[in-house]
Amino acid sequence: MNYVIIGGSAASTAAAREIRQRDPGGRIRLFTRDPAFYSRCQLHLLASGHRQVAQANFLPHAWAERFRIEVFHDDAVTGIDTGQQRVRTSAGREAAYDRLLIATGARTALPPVAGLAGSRTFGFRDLADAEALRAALPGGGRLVIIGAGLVGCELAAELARDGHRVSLVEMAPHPLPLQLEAETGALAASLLSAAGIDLHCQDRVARVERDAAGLPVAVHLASGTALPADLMVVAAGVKANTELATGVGITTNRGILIDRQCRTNLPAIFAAGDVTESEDVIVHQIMPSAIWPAAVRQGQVAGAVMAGDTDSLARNTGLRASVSLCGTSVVAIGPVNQATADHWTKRVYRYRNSRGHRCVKIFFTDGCRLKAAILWGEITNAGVYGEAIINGRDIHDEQIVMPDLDGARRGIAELSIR
Amino acid sequence: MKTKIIDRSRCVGCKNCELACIVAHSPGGQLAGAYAAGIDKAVRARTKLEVDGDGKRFPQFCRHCAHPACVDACMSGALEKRADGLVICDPDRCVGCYMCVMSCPYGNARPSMGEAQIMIKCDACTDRACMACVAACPTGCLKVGEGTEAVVYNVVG
Ligand SMILES: Cc1cc2nc3c(=O)[nH]c(=O)nc-3n(C[C@H](O)[C@H](O)[C@H](O)COP(=O)(O)OP(=O)(O)OC[C@H]3O[C@@H](n4cnc5c(N)ncnc54)[C@H](O)[C@@H]3O)c2cc1C
Ligand code: SF4
Ligand code: SF4
Ligand code: SF4
Repeated sequence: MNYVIIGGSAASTAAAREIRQRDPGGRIRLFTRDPAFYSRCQLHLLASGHRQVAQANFLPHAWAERFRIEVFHDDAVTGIDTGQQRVRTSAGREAAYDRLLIATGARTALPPVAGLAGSRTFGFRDLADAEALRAALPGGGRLVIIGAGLVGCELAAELARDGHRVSLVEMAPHPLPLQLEAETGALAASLLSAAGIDLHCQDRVARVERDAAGLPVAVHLASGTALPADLMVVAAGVKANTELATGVGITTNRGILIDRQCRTNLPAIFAAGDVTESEDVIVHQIMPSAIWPAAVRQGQVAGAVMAGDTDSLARNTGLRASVSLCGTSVVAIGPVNQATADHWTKRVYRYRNSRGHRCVKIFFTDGCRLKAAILWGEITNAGVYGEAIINGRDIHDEQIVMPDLDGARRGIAELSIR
Repeated sequence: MKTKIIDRSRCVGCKNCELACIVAHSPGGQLAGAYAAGIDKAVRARTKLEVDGDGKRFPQFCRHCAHPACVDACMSGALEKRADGLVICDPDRCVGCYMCVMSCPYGNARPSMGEAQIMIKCDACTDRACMACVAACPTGCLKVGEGTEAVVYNVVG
């Protein structure tokens, strides 16, 4: 059996490993545009220079040799011939497949803002982005990061820690709008501001002013504020790399549509990771996921099914996030933002833990089910909450929604007895 | 293979295992070492006595799972399911993203809360002659035997 895998990241490498474990004799070829294996989640550490790219390799030592994967770095697949069942690559290679996996991930989406595209504007998805930013930083200029989602916040905090002058612009009323509600959102805003980040929420980039040489001068916001800018990083959303798929009649929406076995609508072709859309177990909607564990899980399922085994995405979700904001740990699980629309009950517990840290726990319940949770400052047991939310375990209201935190903690602990 | 056998029914909640785990992972192998970096950075146990809804204590230990959710979530490759069945974290590779903490369904992946922002979990006392928690358990709740899994949880008898 000939397997071809497009991509060299979370989903693709997970798939390769699963295939090898089931098909010792198969030929597995992996083509990636990347020059090396590195974890995208560490790009902010590479941009700041606190880690080198070799340290960001997320695979065990001698991975390709051990699993006998033929890896082609710096080699992008340029086309799929579904009739002949082969792919062509930018380095001029051709590879025939019996099973093909598209795990091409996503890229930075540039918002249509006048003057934004041009020199000194960086996306933040690939190693090249981090290296370009790293090379540009010593100029000591002012950096404007557009988008205070997970990537924008982490990058802003990392660079502010090193003394860089950073502005952060977000359309929503507070940072991490997909992960936090108003109270924790306000806490996040004050943490980032205290770290020296010039934060502008509920505002939007209207245009970028450039000088005669095309270099940026200022970022003008809709509110009228002008932020002096030498460098800009766009972290306001991504676009799935679906081009290879759409060209050959694979059904796509925002991403490639896959079923619970990671199949596309074409028989020999599978897809996994950030390039896809699949059913989310928590909200039962077809949607993209944008987290590492979801991509790994999809890769595992795709690999198993490609090799003729059975597996299912039944319990997969992308609605989970963990982030360290200037040293404060935060985990959010479930559709935090849907809470008001669905009339869930919201319980807030504010306390100081035994180490004196300010902590907040927020639970959203619909009576007998925990639907979403935000853990601020103390995240131990986050996975237990996650398990309850993902598996929709019936829990008595009083188990989780105790009048006091101690009671709620016991209710949760009980869920971990298995 | 060597298997840790946990019989929850025998637990009396004495917390000897927690304490032994703290001591085993503290500088100098001394309890005092646990507080060397200050109270707010004190060494944490890698296991925890939890209290259920009825107020009964039970030991929550890492299962060194067959399909470990913590490993699947790890974006640095620090966590690995080894050939000997143990799930071990390499502290030099860990970047403290806590995706593992978010993912362990039992709550056994924890932030260290110490000097370094890294995760800690049960390392099965691989650099010691025997598991400190097992040696400290006075009730037979924790034992070591032979089996096909690294940990068998909740054997009753
Ligand atoms: C800065 C940053 C921080 C992040 N932090 C976290 C975090 O803390 N936790 C978390 O869960 N998630 C985080 N994420 C998200 C996480 O990185 C992604 O969810 C994950 O990488 C998705 O994996 P993937 O395999 O689907 O795709 P990607 O990682 O996007 O990889 C796609 C692969 O396909 C290759 N490719 C694309 N097109 C082609 C082609 N035509 N031919 C050959 N190869 C091609 C690329 O080179 C790449 O190797 C972060 C992302 C970024 C950018
Ligand atoms: S930390 Fe949790 S998920 Fe990981 S091996 Fe231990 S029990 Fe399993
Ligand atoms: S905290 Fe460390 S071990 Fe846990 S997922 Fe992140 S990098 Fe891996
Ligand atoms: S085996 Fe060692 S590391 Fe694991 S819980 Fe027991 S004492 Fe702690």
